[in-house]
Amino acid sequence: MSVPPMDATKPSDTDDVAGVAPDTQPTADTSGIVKDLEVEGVTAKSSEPPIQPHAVAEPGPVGLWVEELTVSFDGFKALDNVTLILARGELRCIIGPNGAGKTTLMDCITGKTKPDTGQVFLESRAHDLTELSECQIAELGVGRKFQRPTVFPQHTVYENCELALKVKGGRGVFRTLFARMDRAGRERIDEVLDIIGLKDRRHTKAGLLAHGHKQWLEIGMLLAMDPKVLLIDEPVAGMTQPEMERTAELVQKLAGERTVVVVEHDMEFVRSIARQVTVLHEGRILAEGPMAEIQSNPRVIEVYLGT
Amino acid sequence: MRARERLLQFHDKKGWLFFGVATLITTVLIPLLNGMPKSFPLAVPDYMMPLIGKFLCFGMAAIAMDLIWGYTGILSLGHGLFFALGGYAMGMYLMRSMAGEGVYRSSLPDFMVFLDWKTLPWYWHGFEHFWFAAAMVLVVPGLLAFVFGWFAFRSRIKGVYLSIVTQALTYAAMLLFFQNATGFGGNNGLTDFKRLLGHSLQDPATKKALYVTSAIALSGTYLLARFVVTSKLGRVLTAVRDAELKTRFCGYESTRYKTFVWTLSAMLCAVAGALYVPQVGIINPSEMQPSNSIELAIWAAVGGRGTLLGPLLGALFLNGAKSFLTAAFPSAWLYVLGGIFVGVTLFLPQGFLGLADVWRRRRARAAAAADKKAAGP
Repeated sequence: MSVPPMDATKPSDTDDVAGVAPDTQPTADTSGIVKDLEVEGVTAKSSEPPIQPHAVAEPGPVGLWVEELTVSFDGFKALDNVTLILARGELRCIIGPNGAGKTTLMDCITGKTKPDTGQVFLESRAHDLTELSECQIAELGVGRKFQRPTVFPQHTVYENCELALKVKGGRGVFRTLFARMDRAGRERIDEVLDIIGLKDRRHTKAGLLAHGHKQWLEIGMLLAMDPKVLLIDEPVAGMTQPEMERTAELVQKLAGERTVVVVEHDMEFVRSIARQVTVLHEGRILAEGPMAEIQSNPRVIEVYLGT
Repeated sequence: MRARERLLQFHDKKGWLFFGVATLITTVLIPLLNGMPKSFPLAVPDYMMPLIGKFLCFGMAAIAMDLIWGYTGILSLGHGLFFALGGYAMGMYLMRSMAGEGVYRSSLPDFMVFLDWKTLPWYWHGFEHFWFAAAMVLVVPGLLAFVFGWFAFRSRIKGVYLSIVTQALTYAAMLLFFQNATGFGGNNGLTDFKRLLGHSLQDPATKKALYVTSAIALSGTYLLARFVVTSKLGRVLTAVRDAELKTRFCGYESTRYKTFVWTLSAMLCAVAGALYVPQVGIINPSEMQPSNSIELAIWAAVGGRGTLLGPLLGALFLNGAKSFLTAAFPSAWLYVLGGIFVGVTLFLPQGFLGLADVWRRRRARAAAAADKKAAGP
């Protein structure tokens, strides 16, 4: 296994990366061994070399770990041996031309598609997400925002958040049947509505919202879910300039506390939020690094940035 | 206080008032009118009681249908099967409770004597007890619905495919029940019932009691359904209807939710069927005809899906019309039914109850316009 370039950042003095997003200033390559990863049971198997993370920000807690993922549809390899390691609290943009495998990657992490080989882990190695159902993965703390805004159109904005709200004791049928909203839940929803700026729309049916508002509501629902890892698929597609700026602000607010993966086509948006960028091409990782480096990478320019 | 709050989520005060009045009319007023002397203009004759009782049973089935179709978006074209199974469980009790009084004076039901059977099949045991039969009314359809639902929903069968599978299910059951060897009386089904819990079914008092039981059961079904749809679970169900994948990504096992409401709906249908059989005096495989299940769906569509009240009113209205028209113009009924269905589908996609919404919105708009005028110079 070749050692890909490492973009390590300054080691932080605290182990608690939550709230401290990896710094954007890359320093010289350091050894890529991840032996210090604070992940339960992560000790490299003796027979194999330890996994070389492409861009683990620093030896610190891992937020999301995708390991040698391969997916093929009728012989076509949508993903080919993709390994991706994100530090806890990292904001990562994934770019790539159409058909590069970005959405398939999201599908694998959220359990919609089962990969042929490979594994996906959250903060610990306790659960291999590829063996779980969508709901179990969601309950473990993976939230996903779809490419097209997906909200519950017949429910009000408030009810949408209520359905997404993280609940103690799980989402079993009978628990849900007798569930009552408590004060903490109501306050949390108010807080979320405040963040996404839809407070005065709480009783509006979500189906009646403008496109941009739907996008925000969906992000708000993810906030209410309080996931550990957030996957956001093309958040600014079809948005106006001010809406886009507001969204960039929202997304940046999300990172730090959570590990965030953003798939986006809009390069301007990526530039405005990106710290670390991964470029996918034909199911493989073409390049990985800070935005500035990616933009000057000749191979990336060739296949993607083009002009 | 919390209970009160929850009850007000079922309905606002006005809604509860309507519910109370409707319940009083069906459970108290109509039986009272039935007791009036024949000379009284509004007297309800004895023969009407089982007829209205039958409509109320159909209303229960329509509410059950609305839970699964209107709220969860699963169009079942096989709910007649659950209705019939509940009916059969009741019919088996009625047959067993008259052992020795049949035409052949045998301890076996008449049709078994006719088929020259010497002993009771194993699955008929226990039905001589009312409590056992009552339990089976819930258990058999509930279990069938649970197993069917679990596998169908787990395999992600949905939409028109699921409708077709449910249709096939009821059709297959009908063919099975048509067989004499199945042991449920073949195409004649179970009939010639004598008594229920010791009371003669010919007695007007029994008929009245059955009617009142149906009316109470209908109100209970309505409240139960209301409880379900106003709960958080109800909101999850409509979410599953509108964006199932999203609910899964929110952490709800949609398969379990669908199986739950499917089974509940089947059991409610079965109770309706069990109350229906002693009032009409017969249960046979024709109740499992695909067309019966389709009619059930039409009641819900005409009344207005996703409102509970709409399908209930749809069932009462269409069955009332059917009773009247099949007597007055026997050949016209199917054309009328088809015409209503097409008309509603084209012009009232929300059903008749959707009209109320349109009217309310129009009034609100008119009020807003009037306000503007008043506020203007």
